[in-house]
Amino acid sequence: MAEDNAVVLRLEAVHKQYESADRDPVPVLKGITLTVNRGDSIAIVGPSGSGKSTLLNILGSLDSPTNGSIQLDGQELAHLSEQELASVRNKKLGFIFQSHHLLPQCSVLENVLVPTLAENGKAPAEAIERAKQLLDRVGLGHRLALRPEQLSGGECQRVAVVRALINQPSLILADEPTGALDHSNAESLADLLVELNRDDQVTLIVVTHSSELAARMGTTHQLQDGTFANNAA
Amino acid sequence: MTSWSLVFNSFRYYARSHIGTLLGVAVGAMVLVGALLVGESVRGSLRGMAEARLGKVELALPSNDRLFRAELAAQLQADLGADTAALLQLPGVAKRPSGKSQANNVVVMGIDAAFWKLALEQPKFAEIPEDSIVINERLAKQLNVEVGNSINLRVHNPSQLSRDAPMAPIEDSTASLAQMEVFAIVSDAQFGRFSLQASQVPPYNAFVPLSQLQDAIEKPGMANLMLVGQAAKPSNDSLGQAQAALAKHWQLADAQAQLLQLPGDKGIELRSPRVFIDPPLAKAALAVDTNATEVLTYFVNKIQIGERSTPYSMASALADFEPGTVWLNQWTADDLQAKVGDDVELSYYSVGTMR
Repeated sequence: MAEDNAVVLRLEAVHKQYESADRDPVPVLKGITLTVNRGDSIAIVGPSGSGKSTLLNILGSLDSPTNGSIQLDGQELAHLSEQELASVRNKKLGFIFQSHHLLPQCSVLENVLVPTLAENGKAPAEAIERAKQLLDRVGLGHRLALRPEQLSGGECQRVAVVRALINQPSLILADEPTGALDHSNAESLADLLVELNRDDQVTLIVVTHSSELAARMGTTHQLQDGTFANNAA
Repeated sequence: MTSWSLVFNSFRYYARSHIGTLLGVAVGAMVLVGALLVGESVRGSLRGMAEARLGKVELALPSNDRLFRAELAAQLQADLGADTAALLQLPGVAKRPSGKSQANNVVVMGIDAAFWKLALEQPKFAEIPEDSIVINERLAKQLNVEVGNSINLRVHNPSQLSRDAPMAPIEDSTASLAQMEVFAIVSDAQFGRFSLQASQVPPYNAFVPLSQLQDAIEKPGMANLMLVGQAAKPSNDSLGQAQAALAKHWQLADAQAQLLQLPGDKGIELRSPRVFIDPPLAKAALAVDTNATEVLTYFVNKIQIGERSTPYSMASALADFEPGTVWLNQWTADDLQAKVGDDVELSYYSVGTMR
């Protein structure tokens, strides 16, 4: 565990309900409270319809809660404008999706550098160097110029992981990161995530149906009927 | 890696679909621009045709079968300060003396030098010599004639009566101008295309001396079309000014009416060679003299009492006659051996189509 246990993310009594024109509002999240420290690795599991995707969207500032508070690095997200939220997402959050969503028209290196373009329109030299190092670390150092169509599914997902790390975010959010991979590649990816968390203190929240991946995280939260049922370590 | 390189990569990767979109946009743009250009061209062509048709004419007074004094145009010109021309415009037929070519639906116009002043481009001549004719390019092509060739014209005489009226003359209502030498062939801009009616096809126009055409139809000094150009000092109410000038110079002769002293000082008669007096004229006459009497005189085929009849007579109707009664003059009464109280039957044709 990291020696510095600074709080990266804090949720307090977060509620989320969706309004409906012809019926009563539909509650999805019913009072989620969560504290994530730097270097934590958390798995959120639950059945379909339990609100996992909704929670992940709220954690990633892609959606806002109906009630409650979210603080990322001590900053209350509810008070931010859309432009400020976009900046937060670019600088402090990294996203890994079930589908890698790599840009087919860009090379491996270029795909990793896309998040660095948001600020000045040009990838800084240090970001380029960091990208090469990370790609080398995940075993893709010799494939920088290749296009996604020239890589395997597992390799593409590893590129996606590096892309999520390029801006050194405070928090990585992964939504079913191994969902589209075969068993072998899923294991490899799980190894990578665990390694990054252990060696680089990357704070990680993973939403998954995979019990094997969940078991490799430091903490597992069971989401049921909009609340956390238990806190399994 | 820059944003622009990302854009460039994206464009290159999706070049096929982009090119397809670009081609579609280019074709659409070409169609729109082409349509706009064609529309502009058509608009320009139509405008050109309208300007060639009307030249510098701003106002027109067409009266068709009704004739007015040609000098009315000169009187209006003096008042309005605008070029004004009087024309005698009649439908006709033109043919080569050899008979080899003919043009129907010819518009024959009796004109003078004032007419050409209203054209966009004045021809080099001012007056048309006697026994000469000026035609437009379309008529020249139809008749296959050049300057110096001869043309025979036949024009319809304007009828003072509807040709459907029973008393309208049956005899030939045309006049001819034979062996008219082609003096010039005028272009569209030289009023070769003159017409008050819009058409993409130019008419067959033939221009002859006004006085010669007036003599041919036995209507000296008369016209049935007046053209007025733009005044030297343009006005927002040129029509109002023209109408005021017309009212100022209008005479009974322009309505083809005349006042005649009845014999024995029995009064004044308002009469028209058109036989029937138009309602506006009748109303104006009645407004002048409240003692005026309206009389309708008509041709009757037969006046009959019993077995005796008198053919081809005239009957006059007056407003203050007792309905159902008739007065006969002495001659008719003697002819019919009529006495007061007899039943009289009048037979006459009513005016309708096809006589």
